Amino acid sequence: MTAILFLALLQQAPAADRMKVDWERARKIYMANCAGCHGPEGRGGKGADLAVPKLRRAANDEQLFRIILGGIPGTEMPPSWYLGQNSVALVTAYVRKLGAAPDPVRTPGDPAKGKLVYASQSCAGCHDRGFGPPLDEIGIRRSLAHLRQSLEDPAAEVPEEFLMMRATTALGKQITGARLNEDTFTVQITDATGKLHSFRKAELKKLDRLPGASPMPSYKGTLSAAEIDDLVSFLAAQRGGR
Amino acid sequence: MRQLLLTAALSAAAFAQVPYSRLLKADAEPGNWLTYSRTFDGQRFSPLKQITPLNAAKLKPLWVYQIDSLDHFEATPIVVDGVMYLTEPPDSVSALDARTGRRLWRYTRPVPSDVRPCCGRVNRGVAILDDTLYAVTLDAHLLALNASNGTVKWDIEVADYKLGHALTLAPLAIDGKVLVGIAGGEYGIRGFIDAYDAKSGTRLWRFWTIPGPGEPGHDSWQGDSWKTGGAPAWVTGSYDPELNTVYWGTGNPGPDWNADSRAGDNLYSCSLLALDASTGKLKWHFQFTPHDTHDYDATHVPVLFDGVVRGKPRKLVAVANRNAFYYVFDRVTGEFLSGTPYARQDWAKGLDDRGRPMADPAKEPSEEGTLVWPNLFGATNWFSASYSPLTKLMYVAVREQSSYFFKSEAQYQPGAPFMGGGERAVKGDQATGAVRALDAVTGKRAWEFPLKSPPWSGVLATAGGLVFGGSMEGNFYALDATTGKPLWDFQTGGVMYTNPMSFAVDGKQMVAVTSGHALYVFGL
Repeated sequence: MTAILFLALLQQAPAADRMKVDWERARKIYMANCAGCHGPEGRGGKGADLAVPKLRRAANDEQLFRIILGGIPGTEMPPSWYLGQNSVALVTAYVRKLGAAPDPVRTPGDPAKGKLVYASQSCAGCHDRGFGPPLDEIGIRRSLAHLRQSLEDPAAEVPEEFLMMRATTALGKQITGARLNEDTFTVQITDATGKLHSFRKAELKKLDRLPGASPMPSYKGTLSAAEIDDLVSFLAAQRGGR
Repeated sequence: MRQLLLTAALSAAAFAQVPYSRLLKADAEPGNWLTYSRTFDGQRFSPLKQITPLNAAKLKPLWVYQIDSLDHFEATPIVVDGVMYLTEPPDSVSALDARTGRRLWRYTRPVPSDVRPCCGRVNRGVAILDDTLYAVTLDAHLLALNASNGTVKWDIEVADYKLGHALTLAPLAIDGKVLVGIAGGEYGIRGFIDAYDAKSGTRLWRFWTIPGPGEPGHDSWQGDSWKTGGAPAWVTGSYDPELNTVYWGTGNPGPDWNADSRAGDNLYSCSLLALDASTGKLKWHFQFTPHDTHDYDATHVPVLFDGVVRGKPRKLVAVANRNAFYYVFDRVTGEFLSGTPYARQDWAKGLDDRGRPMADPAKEPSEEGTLVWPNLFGATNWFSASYSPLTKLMYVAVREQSSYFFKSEAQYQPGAPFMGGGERAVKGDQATGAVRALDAVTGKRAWEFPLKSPPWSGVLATAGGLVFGGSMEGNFYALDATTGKPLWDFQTGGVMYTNPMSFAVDGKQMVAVTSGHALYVFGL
């Protein structure tokens, strides 16, 4: 699908407020297409928390419709033009309804204490050096539950751009690290020290993908429950200055 | 003395004079590339053999030509006696000095701002006949340009772009005629293939790819659905001058993914058509995907070659189809000879002995999404396969990707998308690609070269024993045509939606390919 066709679709967008909403159908479409990331009740997961009165990127229905139809470039939010404009309008209405419910989820800890935990565990040592995802906007991108999961069970969901790989050179030396890029003939890996390794695949003895592996340790047990609450609060507050 | 040498060099690159007799015997000019696929048979094979498996590792860029546009650069250049002619998206035709890449002239015809072509503001190249270049426009015009300076000889409207018609292909110029096929299958158009008089631009014939009332095949459409049934013809066809037959592929029926309003086989969507070149009359047809609901266009360059099938020499036409089957037909009679899966598919349980697929009803698009192999872009797409008469292998760039197919409402509005659904990518998709070499007669795989991602680049086989191809990550590469072993690769730094070609200037073989927003030319 091309951007051009998407624009053409957009110009025929039906106004959600003029539609009679079939809530059961809207729920079905949401569950099939959105709940995987945003959670069954819109309380977020890998995707943003939608059960809020005000969505940061979508101040009104039209903006929300556009985002659902076209996705958000540069993020994991994909376009959903394939649903057709009426279904997208239904989902728009449904997401608005999710936000109308009061939000019972409270930030569990103290972000100021969390900042100290962040420093004490040297989190920036990886996350500011390209060996882990940047965290400056993580509070917008991820729900509280997902942030907690990333701390307690980081291997549960490793971001695609941080796939771990193990390269074995012709001399038998092994380098394990996160994949920065890859094509048919070459691969670029950064190791735990932040050092870049660039290989031609034909020169390697072996190249293993390690899906499900994460270089990040689990902090369950290492940190107390209260410390994890504080850290989650601190991360949730990282909103790119917004 | 210097002035003398310059004059000599320039005069060697005289502007084109390409009578039909040269196109007919294009194979006798190994250094030129006179039509979209080099020869009328659609083989995309270069007889040049200076670059071989022994020296391919020494290939290096000779020149690069950059375009101004950010649209996909999908054109195959043609090369005539040292001059390269190509289209630049969205709206230009250029002539370059093929030796240096320096531009000789450029013609630009701005596209109307409300043009919304499906799918993409692209243009795949020019045709040449005598001293005239033929090119199409996104607002569905056909242009005849003076090959020596790009001035317009004539400019005709083929169809109304406001209804979703567009033209994106390289025209096919044959004896006194220029043929084009329309695009717009996602806008509820009624598809057609046209022939125009090369001198005047007068339309000689039109073949509607959806039969009208009273014509055979019309009853394969429910009610009025034929009027908005799609079946575009947006990739250049092939031509057999001896049989005076044009072979052309057609695209999906519309609306693409919601077929509730178009019960029946929906002829001649997703088909191969054999048309009489003089009259446009249908000689035979074969429908690859009757009543398609997965957007499996059959818009491929049909490849014509001769081979021995079950002990009998035959004139053949073969298509590696978007629906993941490789088909071989007798191109005289249209007899189906074989159909073999060449990529992963699960939309059909197989083909019956007449080549008709046994479609799996469980793989229909649905409101909830149905996981199907291949995805809507297919096991291959518009980019070309290549046939080597030396290895007798068909080289195909293959996509291995599935997706969830969705069905939604579809309401026809003139000039608006008319699709009724679409697809969603698989989470954590591990899609891959490959170049596969198939025995051209049997479809049996001889070798495969794996690619990291599903490609959007066709392939080029050469008499030097190489196969060239491109990747989504910008790798341009050469493989051994016999074994598939990689011999050379170059990072072009762009995404490759393209088809490679090869030509020679002053006896030096060069290989050209577009990548990103540039045309690269390589040589030893």
